[in-house]
Amino acid sequence: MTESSIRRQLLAAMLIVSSSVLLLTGIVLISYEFTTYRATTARHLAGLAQTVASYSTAALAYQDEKGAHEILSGFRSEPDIVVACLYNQSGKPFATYQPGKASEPFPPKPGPDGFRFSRTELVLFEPVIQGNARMGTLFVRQNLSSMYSRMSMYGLFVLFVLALSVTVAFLLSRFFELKIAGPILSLAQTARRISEHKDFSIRAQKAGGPELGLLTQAFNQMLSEIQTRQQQLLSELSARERAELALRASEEELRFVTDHASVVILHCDRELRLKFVNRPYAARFGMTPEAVLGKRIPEVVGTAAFDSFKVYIERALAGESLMFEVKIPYETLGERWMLCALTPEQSRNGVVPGFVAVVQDVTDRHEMQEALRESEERFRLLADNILQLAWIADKDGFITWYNQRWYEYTGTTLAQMLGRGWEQVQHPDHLARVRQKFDDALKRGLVWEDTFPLLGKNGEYRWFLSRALPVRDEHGEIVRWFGTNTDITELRQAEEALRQAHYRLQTTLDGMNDAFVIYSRDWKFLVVNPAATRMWNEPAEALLGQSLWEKFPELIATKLHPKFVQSMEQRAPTTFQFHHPGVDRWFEHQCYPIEEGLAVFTADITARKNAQQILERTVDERTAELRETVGELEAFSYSISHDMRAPLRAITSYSEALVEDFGNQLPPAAKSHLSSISSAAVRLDQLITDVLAYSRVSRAERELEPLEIEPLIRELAEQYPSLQSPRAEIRFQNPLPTVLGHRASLAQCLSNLLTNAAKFVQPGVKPVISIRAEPAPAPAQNPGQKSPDRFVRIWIEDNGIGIPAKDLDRIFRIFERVHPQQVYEGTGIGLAIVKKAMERMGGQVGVESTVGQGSRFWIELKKA
Amino acid sequence: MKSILLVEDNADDIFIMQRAWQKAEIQNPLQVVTDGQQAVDYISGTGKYADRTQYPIPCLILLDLKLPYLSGLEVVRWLRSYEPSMTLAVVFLTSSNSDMDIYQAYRFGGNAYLVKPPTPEKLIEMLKDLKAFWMKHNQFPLECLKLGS
Repeated sequence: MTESSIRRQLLAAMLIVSSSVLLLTGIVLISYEFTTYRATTARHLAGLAQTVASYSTAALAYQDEKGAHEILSGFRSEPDIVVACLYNQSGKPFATYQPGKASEPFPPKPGPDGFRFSRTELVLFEPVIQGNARMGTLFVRQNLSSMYSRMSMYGLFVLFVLALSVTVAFLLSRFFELKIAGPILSLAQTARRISEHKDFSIRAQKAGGPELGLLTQAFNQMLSEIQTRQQQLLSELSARERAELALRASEEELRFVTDHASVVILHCDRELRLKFVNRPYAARFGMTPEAVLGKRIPEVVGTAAFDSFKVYIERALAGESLMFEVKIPYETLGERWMLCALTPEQSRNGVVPGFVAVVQDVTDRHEMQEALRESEERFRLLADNILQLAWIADKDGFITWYNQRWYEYTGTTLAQMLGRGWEQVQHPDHLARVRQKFDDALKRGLVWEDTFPLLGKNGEYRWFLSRALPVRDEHGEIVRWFGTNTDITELRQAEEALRQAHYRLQTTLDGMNDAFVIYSRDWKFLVVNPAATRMWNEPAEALLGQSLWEKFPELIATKLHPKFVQSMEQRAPTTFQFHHPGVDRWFEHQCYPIEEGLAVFTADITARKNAQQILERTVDERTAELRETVGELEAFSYSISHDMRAPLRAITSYSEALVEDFGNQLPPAAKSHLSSISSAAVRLDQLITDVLAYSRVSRAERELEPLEIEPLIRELAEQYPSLQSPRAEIRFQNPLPTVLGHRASLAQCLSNLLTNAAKFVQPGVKPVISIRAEPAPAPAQNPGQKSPDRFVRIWIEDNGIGIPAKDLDRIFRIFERVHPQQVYEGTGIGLAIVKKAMERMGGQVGVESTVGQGSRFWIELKKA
Repeated sequence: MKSILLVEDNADDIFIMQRAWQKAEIQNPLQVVTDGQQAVDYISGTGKYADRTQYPIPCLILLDLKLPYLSGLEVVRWLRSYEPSMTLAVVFLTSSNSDMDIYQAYRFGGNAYLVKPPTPEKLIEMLKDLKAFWMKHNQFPLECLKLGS
């Protein structure tokens, strides 16, 4: 609480009390005045009006207007009356009084009797009564402004008194402030000073009444108490501080020493909570000692690591001093070998309160030992598993160790073999020599090498290549010998086999008629067989080592050169024929790139070549002859088409003319015969047409072009009335693709198939031909000849009589007919034409059929 | 009525044609010559063909391919080289339907190519079509008419 706030509150209290008392008094006074004044005014006006009304009765009774005016002017004594009016019996204004300059309004008719206050006016209707009769009404309106000015006067007076009382209250408050607030404020100031200066020797001045005095005294007493306590504390503190400083110095020393030790030091309590650790300990876990302190060991090292040494800690906590090595799997550091020394604290009441641990990371040492052990193990493993027999002897050749192979091969034991025991498995014929050579090597300290047979456990001798190397110490003295025996029996056999193979090869090459040469990569003759020397007409000595192109430079200009070079450089086998201009002979060269260069077989094929040329000439001649024959055949078919048809036409025409012109003279049989002649001629003409069509489709090589099948079929249908509605119906089941074909040939095929479909139906059945396309199935007969996705199969299905299964193969052959001529007309060539034409276009034709239900012909063509 | 010239060496075919001509009810008179040379003489008005009342200039020639002396192709080649007959309509009528013949017929200047039908009915049918096309719908060039005068 501040000085000013006390003062302000005091002042405010006084002002609020005084002004509220005054205000209330003023309000009550003014209200009372207001109501009483209003009542007085009303009463006064009513009295006045009654008087005027009583005087007015005569004026009203006698209609004396002037009199009435005079009576009304009696109101002049009251300046606040602004208007008065006298109404007659019937309520009409009779006389008025209007003292002001402006004419004040009055009601045109009298209102109800009595007075009424408005905000600024008092209005009165007073009845004018003569005896019991009402003569009229008097109206008076009085202005209330004088009342309001009186009220304002009251208000101003109250305000003045209020201001006066505030001033007095303010002055009074100054007086009371000094009297009451002064001592409290000085006490507060003292307290502030003490808190600012922390000086508890300051005392508050006594002042004011007895209560304040008591307060000040209590305050001072408290201060002196605090002062004494503070002094005691200070003296205590200085003693403790000195002790602490000394402790800190010794702790720092300890910290310095332990932090710079190479070992990890820690101290923890029974709960395994770390009470001390040195910096290396914390650093192992990437932390500061402060961060580690207070934590439990498992939290710091991880549970897996803790489990590895938990048992030791338990023993230490049981009071045992321990030293041990343990492998600890740290989460962060991996597995480490640790040398640990645990020292329990002195037990209190039989309980060890904690222990100190000194720990050293000995992983490197462990790894070294491990590596050594492994290396030795590896050596044993290697030595036991190598294919050779192996052994180690001391410097005098006394063998102390053999590998597992040795025992496996010889079937002996170390006891038998120790020292010079190996002489037992030597072959008697070789023993003396071997022994002497071995002793000699020992004596000289040189590498020992020998080849001899050793006896196996199966009783057979095998050949071994044996070597021993002296192992020397740092002074160059031999400490031991390390020896091996390598089985070379197979090697010796392989060498023999090689020798035989080489002999066989040599004899083959020597006996060969073909020349055989191996050229090196720089074209030198490496190998030549006798046939080659004959071919090159040079002795082998003159060729070997020589470069082909230097020896025979004339070959560089021939086609032999690029062929050889290409085969050599691209490492690609090549066979080619070559005419040697120098000797006028043909050779066939077969080149095979080999490791060393190029192997070339060369055969003289001059005789074969000559025979071939004769053959080719013969073929050419035969082809020319054949072509001539074909030409004749074409001329023949041309003349058939042209010349043979004319007589046929004549036959039909004349027989018909005969019937027409002389029909009435001919017997019916003659007419019938003539008709037979005619129809036979028509058939013959059709036959000729078909044969020509067949030879046409089978003759020329056709250029294939993209063809749309559906329009083609529609075009055909327009040409053949037998394919049109209502005689027949063609249904397209799905969109037909564009194929590759020859237009005329395909049109021929489709028209043959369609007219067949329309023709071979039961009498009275309307042919319905369905046409649809599907991808051609994978070819079964000629795989590889075509890819199935490139071909499309178009089905032409009819509702005809069908074809018996036994006839399905026949129908595509020329001149084959399944049905008798009399029933279904035809030459038996139509389907042969289709087959031939489809083959010429690279396609196929086929059929499936069920007798009585219809046939399903298909053609396959390449998709465009 | 303009006449039509048939060049045909086969007497049977001439007989067949004449019969069919009547049955097809073609009003145009059918003039006949029997070899290529006669055809050339007829058009050029050589020898007896100078008499145009008996041998009027035709508006259409029906020409066989295989003919003595001059083949059909040679005849048409001559017709196309001879100024007055350069535009004369030539329809080949032959028994061959070889691709080569058809190609050459047009190549040398033929206007149409018909294959002789195997039976009289079919011939009549064809002649009716021929009449409808050439005599009813087709328009001949003026030169053709000039040649006739």
